[in-house]
Amino acid sequence: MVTKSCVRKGEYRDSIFLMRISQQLGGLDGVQQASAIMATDANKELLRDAGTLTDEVSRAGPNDLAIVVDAVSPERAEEAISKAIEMMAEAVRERAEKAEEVYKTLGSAAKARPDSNLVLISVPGAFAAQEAERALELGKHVMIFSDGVPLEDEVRLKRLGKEKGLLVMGPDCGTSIINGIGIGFANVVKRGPIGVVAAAGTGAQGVSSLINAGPGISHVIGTGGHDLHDKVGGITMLMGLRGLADDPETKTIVLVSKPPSPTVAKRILEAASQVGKPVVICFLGGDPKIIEEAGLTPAATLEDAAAKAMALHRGEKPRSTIFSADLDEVKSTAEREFKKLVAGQRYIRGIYSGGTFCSEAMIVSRDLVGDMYSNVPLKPELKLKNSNKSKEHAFVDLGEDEFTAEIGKPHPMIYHELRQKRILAEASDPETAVILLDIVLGHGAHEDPGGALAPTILEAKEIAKKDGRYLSVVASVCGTPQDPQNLISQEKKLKGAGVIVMPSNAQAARMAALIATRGKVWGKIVGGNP
Amino acid sequence: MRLLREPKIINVGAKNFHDSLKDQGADSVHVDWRPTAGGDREMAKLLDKLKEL
Repeated sequence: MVTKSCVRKGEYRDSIFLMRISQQLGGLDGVQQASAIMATDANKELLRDAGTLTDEVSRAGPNDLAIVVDAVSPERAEEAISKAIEMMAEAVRERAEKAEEVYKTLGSAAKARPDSNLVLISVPGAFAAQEAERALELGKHVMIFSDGVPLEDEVRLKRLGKEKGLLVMGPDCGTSIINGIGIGFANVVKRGPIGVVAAAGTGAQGVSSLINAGPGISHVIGTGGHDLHDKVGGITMLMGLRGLADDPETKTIVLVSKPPSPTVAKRILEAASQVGKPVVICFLGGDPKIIEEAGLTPAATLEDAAAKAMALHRGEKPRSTIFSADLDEVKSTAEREFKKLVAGQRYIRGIYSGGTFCSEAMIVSRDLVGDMYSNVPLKPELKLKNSNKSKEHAFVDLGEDEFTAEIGKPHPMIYHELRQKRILAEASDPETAVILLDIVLGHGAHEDPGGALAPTILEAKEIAKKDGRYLSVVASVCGTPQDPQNLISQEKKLKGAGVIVMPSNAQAARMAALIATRGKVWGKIVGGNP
Repeated sequence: MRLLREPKIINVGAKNFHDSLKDQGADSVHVDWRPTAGGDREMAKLLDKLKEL
């Protein structure tokens, strides 16, 4: 193996663009590992750990772009570097052809567009707070996609925003839909009367995609994952709630987050009980009692939240969905799968790209199959010692920083290599009964996740077959028929690879539990005696 | 909240978000952001002070 590098002095490119380059190079023949990165100290450190830090790159600075390729021969490495340079030149040409005005700073853009009202920030975390503060000073609402912003900065920015009557969505806010426009990672949903405020990106995507099948979405306001932290106190959730309460298009409201502390929960519930519109609250994994006591509707899962909001909107009594399909059909699908398993295949292996989906699946499954290990466990003692190695029932969130911080490895919603490797590893384990997956569509996500994962799933099933086993794969697709990737065609690709595709993540988790337990939990799921 | 009626966006950072907004027919302009003073924090602070003067 040879390592070659190339440094482009003073050339800055955003991280998502660089990830796409890394991804393309990684797929070239004879290339083992490729990274296109800014030569910051942190990135150089990662290269050093991987043993691919060249002298040239170690001398480069944070404003220099470095391309590092590990390949089978010097020729292959050089080819990959040329390809990267070509891709960068192509992007410059495209921009010139579009002849679109591009600004150098937020200040100059704001001067040219004084009527702009929202600044979307996705610069590296260390610089995000500064840009956000500028935006607020200019009187604009802010959505901070960047993560890695210190909590003190978040508190300061949100207090400043509140003072000025401006929303600060994020930091670490992946998804918003404002007046039908998807911002960041968002599904294409039809306009309608249900508004969502969510502290989690995939939580927002899950709920809004499911509501797309019903009356549709007015707005989705993302708050970022730390908004309900005691120090922040839910400033954005409260302002978002107020915004939706005052919005004439919004008739019913859904709030989604992890369970906050009692103090913050009380504040949110008090505000929600005063909006004068039906409010469904999903504190994922939290106690429903405090929500009921506040006269609001609790929801146990994302699907439950969507279903209850739609029922309330129709003026019906909110009801939970267990399975959308005919129960006999569900039962026989599970039977067909588990009859093919052999003794010793006992465990569910959840391999997730969406953090909220991973939590939701664990919450649904723990009542059915008991405790499970995870890198984001429900109880501290269930933390996987090594996130790369599953044990018993195990659910991993591959979107966690420990995986995405690795050089040139973007989020699994964009890039599938990590997940593909993990699927094959789980397939080789004779104790794996079911692999459980989430596939996320929409703006920002991979252009064809079903197409990228289907061959891997077929290969995984083949690995099990060669060992005299059967591997069951269950998945749900978070998306809509209007998404660029198209929900229907994505589901078809997965079904073509032998995947049992369920209409929601919660239903997929129930199906996985049914299969892994050989149907033993049927009574528990459908409400009979366990 | 006027934002909810008519979002007009300035995108600072990843260009693909701006492209996706334009594809949706949204009102968006792009800022080709790069670190002030090449990421040199001390220099950036100095520049900020100069701007205030």
